[in-house]
Amino acid sequence: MPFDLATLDAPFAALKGYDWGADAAWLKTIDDAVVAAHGDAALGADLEQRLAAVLGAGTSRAAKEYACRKLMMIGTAASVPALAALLGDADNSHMARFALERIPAPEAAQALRDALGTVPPGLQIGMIESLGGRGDAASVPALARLLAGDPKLAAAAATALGHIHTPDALAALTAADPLAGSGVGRAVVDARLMTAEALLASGKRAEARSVYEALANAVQGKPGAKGVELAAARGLLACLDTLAAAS
Amino acid sequence: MAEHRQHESRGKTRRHFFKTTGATAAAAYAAPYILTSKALGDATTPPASDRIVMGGIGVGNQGKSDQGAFLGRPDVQYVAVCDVRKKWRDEGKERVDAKYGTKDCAAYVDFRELLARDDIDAVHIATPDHWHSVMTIAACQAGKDIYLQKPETLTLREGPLMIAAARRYGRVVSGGSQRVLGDYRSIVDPIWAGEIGHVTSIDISVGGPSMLCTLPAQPAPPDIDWDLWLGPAPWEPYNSGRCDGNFGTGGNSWRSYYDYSGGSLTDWGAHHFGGTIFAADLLDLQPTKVTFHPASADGKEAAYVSVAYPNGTEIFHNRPARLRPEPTLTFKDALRIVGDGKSRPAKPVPEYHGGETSIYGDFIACVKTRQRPFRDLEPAVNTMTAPHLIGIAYRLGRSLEWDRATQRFVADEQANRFLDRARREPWII
Amino acid sequence: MRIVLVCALLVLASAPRDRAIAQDAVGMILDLVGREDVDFRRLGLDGIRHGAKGEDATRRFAALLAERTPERQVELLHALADRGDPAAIPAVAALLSASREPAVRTAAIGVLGATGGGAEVAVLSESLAATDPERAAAKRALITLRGDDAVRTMIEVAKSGTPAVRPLAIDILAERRARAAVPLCATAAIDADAGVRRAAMRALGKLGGPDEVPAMVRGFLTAAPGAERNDAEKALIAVCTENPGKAQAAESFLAVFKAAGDADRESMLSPLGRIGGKGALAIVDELLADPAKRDFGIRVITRWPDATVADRLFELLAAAQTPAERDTLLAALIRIAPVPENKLNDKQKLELVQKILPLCQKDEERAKLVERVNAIRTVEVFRFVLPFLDDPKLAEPACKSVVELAHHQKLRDAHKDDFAKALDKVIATTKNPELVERATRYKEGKTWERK
Repeated sequence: MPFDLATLDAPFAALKGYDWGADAAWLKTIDDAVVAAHGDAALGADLEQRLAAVLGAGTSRAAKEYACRKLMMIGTAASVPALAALLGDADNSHMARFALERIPAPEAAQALRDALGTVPPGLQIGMIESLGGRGDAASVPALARLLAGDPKLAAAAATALGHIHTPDALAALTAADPLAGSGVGRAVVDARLMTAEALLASGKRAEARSVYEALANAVQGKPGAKGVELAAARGLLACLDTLAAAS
Repeated sequence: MAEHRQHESRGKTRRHFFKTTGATAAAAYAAPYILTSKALGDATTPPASDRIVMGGIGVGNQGKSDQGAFLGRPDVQYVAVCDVRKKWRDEGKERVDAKYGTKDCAAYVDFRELLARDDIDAVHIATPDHWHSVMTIAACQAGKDIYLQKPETLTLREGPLMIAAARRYGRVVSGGSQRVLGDYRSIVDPIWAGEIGHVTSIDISVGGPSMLCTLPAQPAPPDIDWDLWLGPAPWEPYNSGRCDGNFGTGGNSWRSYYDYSGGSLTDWGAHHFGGTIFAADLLDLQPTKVTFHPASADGKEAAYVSVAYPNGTEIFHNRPARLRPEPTLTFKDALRIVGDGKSRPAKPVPEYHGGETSIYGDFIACVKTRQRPFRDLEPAVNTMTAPHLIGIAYRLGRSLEWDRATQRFVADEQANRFLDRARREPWII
Repeated sequence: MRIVLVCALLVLASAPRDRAIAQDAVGMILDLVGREDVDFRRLGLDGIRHGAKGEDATRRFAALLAERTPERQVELLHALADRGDPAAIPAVAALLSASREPAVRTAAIGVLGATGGGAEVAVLSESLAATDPERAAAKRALITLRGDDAVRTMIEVAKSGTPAVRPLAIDILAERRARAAVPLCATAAIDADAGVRRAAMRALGKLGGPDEVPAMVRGFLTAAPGAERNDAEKALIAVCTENPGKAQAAESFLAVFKAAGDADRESMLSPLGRIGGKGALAIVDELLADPAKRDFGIRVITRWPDATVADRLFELLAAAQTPAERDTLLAALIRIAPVPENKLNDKQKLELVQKILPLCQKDEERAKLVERVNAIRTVEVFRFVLPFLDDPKLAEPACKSVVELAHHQKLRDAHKDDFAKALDKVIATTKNPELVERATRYKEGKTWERK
């Protein structure tokens, strides 16, 4: 039976005035509609439009948060502009990412990439987290540029590059100092190891081995680098074992 | 740094991981270690140099129990606690200081300060679930071994990332379900002895998934660092019912709510799923099919979900009683297990390492020997995959197919959105 | 440095050849386990545990044993045990034979247990006669050995080993849940050796079913009074009330009881009552109907496991013939009423308690009831207990019950104010410092761990 869109009017009207602690039994109607929208494009589009409308001015943080949770489930390129508009807002940036990170549309990734260059520094790490979480290869140049800057952003960018683990991501990580201070070196090493693991998992043994070797050679004999040497040796052993297993 | 860090002993790994990146912070935060007569050991207590140096992150409720278990061991030197609540932090420190008759136990609000200490070998973590992956991965990077309370993960994506970090740095990471081996022997022993054949179906009765928290704002008391309590979870206003409560899942407790927990399904579920998955020898597997069974048309029977494993075993969550087959084995009112009765070779039941009798002892034994603990992170993550899949099927109201190799749902883009959640800045894994 | 060296080796070998490549994985592990640095050595040991698969590799790792110090032998042995490859057995067995170092012997035994089968039973059984920790390691190893032939060989040891080893062998077979050992245990339950008998009854308590009940009764009757008899009774009761086929086992016990002579029957009264059930109740009726056997009937019914006989107990209490009989019957009611598995719901349990209370004539009886009632964890019980806080003779057990009920956070939190008041009263009343501490903690929302 087609979903009766009129039943959504009252809950959405209530949502616009919603705040934490208010009676929220009516949220269930929206919850159920969002689930019912699977395979019902018309309902999905209607809901998305209504939810995106909640993200505008005049609604509470709680209402926006709820809308973002639902857009995480059914959002498409259509709701990206409304979500993107919140990325620079300290109160709502995270919840906008909560949706955008999980929406597969390329427009969502583009919005995160765009915001990386415009949002205040405190929110940039969030963009980095989401781009890494998406494995967004197109963000590598922007992330690579961050490796040489503010240590917190550099460390986060290194982690994201490790999740992306494309050849250019690896190149950027390889150019960074694995023994840099303030947590950056640790993140760079971790990301290079992540990349090697991904290469090994996809059968690119020689490439993985190169990453481990390069890392071991870069830190060899340096004070405080034993953990890196051990991790690289462990990786090399995994490469050899994979070779053996494949034989 | 005191001389107790200078030499290798009893097989304990001496870590100087990433010293250039961590040493400055470590020096800044390290509490002075005074070599007391206790530190030199006696007939029953190994000298400090042979003890595992430990700290605890999250030391209220279950964390307090975990702390007590480690603190009571003569082969552990407990040096630091961390909690975002002053009350629990102070109490945790008091317990340590009372035990050793000193005032030396350091107390931290921020776990990163504790992890930066180079003298700490191992940590136990008993925070709400939304912190587990961030802290575990950070602890692995810092070269710590980890005893991590169950449920080990909040999302499906976290598990492989945590396992990879543990393996990458050669860390001993034990999950924290003390009940899996402790409580379920009455079903484990006959199954592993081959007495009921291959397990074909398991009915688990335990609560459902977590819910959205809509509690009103309250003024945050001064004794809690609310932003740090929330950490990677969405910002929401303080309410005692959001963060208090111990094991409740019916509201007014953090285990009730989606942002911090998978609900009873993953909390008590970690025990019941853990016990049966161990008993049925499914620890190396993950389910492949997730079947959503809708509620009856008259509404008298609620919806339920089952997961099927590639070896043919199916686990049913809260299947209506009238549909459950006659069990071959039961555990209280919670578990009903059916075997095919065919011949099956007996296998020895794994035990805790080092002749230890608790999961805490097992962890410490493995810290010394570098063996994988009884509830190693990998089987723990495999275990938790089942209730996580079930929870997502309940949320979506439909059946799903799970591809273990890619760690993704098959042909269900929307379900794949539930694999992980964006973490609030500045938290990243 | 060695890492670079290994990499170079890999480069040389990374051409086409599988065997050479595989050996390089082994080579790297061998290199690592030879290091002085504990962390790198551990990495090599991890490689032995989880990597470089194959028997050839295992043999190369095991060959290191001969050239290592005892300390290094132990860590290598632990790794080989976790590797679980039987190809290590010859080298490990040779080391076990040659070494007198307790730690080495214990670790070597662990490898044999993790990798061996029937062929290793003999050598491991020899270690059962040693002292701990070697004996404990051998016991564990014999539990973990794989294969039916291991069980068969162990049954032979249990049959014809030395008196010291036979009970251990039976315990091991029981721990393995080796059903093939059940006939042996049935015979051994009346063995001349008390240690063997006790082990056999323990084993039957775990593995036995209806078919074993007659042999178990023989074992129970053969057991020396005291600890052996008590343990035998527990094993028998487990088979008749817990194990698969428990209902048939209970019937089998009844049949054996009915066929037994008077002296044996008298000995069997205690398990008869503790197993309970309709058939046993019929026997109770017969016994009670015969004045000469009334005492026996009382003995049986007062051991009943559940509250299904509560009405009968009330009737008998009303007609008690001696003060001692009255005391016994009342004690049985007080015991049965609140126990978790007594087949009543919580409301019925409390009703039963309330019915028993006026029948208590002595303070100690009332005290026992007020204390035992906390096994029923409801707010109604909390309210039932509260008035006794003001009765000087019952205040202590009432305090204990309030505190025990408050221990359950859900119950306490659901009635926070009432519990707070009651706990205040406990703190002001009790002379037990532990109760004061617990009450104070619960009031503050803290937990308490049972010591």
